[in-house]
Amino acid sequence: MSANKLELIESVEVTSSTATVTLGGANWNNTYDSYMVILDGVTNDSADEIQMHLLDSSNAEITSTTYSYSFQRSTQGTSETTVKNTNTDDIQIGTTGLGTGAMFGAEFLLQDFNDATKVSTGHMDCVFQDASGKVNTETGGFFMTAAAINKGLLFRIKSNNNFLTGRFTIYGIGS
Amino acid sequence: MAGKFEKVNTFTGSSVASLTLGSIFSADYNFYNVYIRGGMTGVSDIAAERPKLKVLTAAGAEFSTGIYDFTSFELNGSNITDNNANADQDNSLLNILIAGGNTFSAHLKVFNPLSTTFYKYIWAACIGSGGYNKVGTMVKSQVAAGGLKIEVPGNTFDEIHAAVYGIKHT
Repeated sequence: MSANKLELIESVEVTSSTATVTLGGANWNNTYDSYMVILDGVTNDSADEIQMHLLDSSNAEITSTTYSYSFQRSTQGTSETTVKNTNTDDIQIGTTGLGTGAMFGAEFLLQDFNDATKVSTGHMDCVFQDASGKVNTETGGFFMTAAAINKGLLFRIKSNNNFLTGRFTIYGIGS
Repeated sequence: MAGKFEKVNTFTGSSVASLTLGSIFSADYNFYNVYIRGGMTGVSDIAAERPKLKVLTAAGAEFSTGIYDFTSFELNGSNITDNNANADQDNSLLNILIAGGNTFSAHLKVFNPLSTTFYKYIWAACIGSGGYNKVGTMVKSQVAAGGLKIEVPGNTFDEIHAAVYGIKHT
């Protein structure tokens, strides 16, 4: 780890139909207190929710009801909404529509993934075109309901749909 | 350089109606953070003079009018304003300002501005004398962008500063 720097850990580009994208796991670098994740140019084959899961200390996807999240979502042409769930089995971060120019972009800040005594948390800022062709923006966060080590993230599309394009990148933030 | 958060350029102006952040987007970076701060005084109806955000082409020209969709969530004093009815506009908006306080700042996250496949998407968080404002902007163009412009037509920024940072993912 280099102090005072943003360090690239892993960048995954999707260029064809792909069910899941993993950041970390076998490539996890546990020497950072904080991580930045950027999703850019993400598109799906169906206008459905992008689901995010954390990986456990064995690099396995966590699918138990250990996620809590909330964020404020603004949608062009629709009243703003607060999206929140507790003790659920995934984090639904938004939808990418299939309209012209549609994509999903996001930046996350992850904290305490390497501390077994603390719950892993994350901040989320997202902007995307939804299934109705409307621009949406979100700000919020998530936390796990039990303290544990986590070694990365796994993204998938609801109902077993697939990513078509996108770049998923994780950086360690030196301190 | 891949995997680094690097300064692209800084811009500053005083007594100007606009600040152009030209030639900031290039193949050197994929994702950008833009930090803006400034102030306006001597504006009689400052609430009506919210800084406007526009996207520029690689040649520095403004994009077509009527292609900006944005949705804005505003925390202004004791109220929440759902400023969402903004389709086919000529620009996006940034801060909330009120009389008696004229300084503001904004943090923009710009995704993939060179893409000729995707529209231009900008996430922005702004704070001003009138409150906090979160804006999502979708510029409905598949032409590569080259820069940004912040303006208050008919009035002036006493001062305005912008710093642009880029990240190259690989």
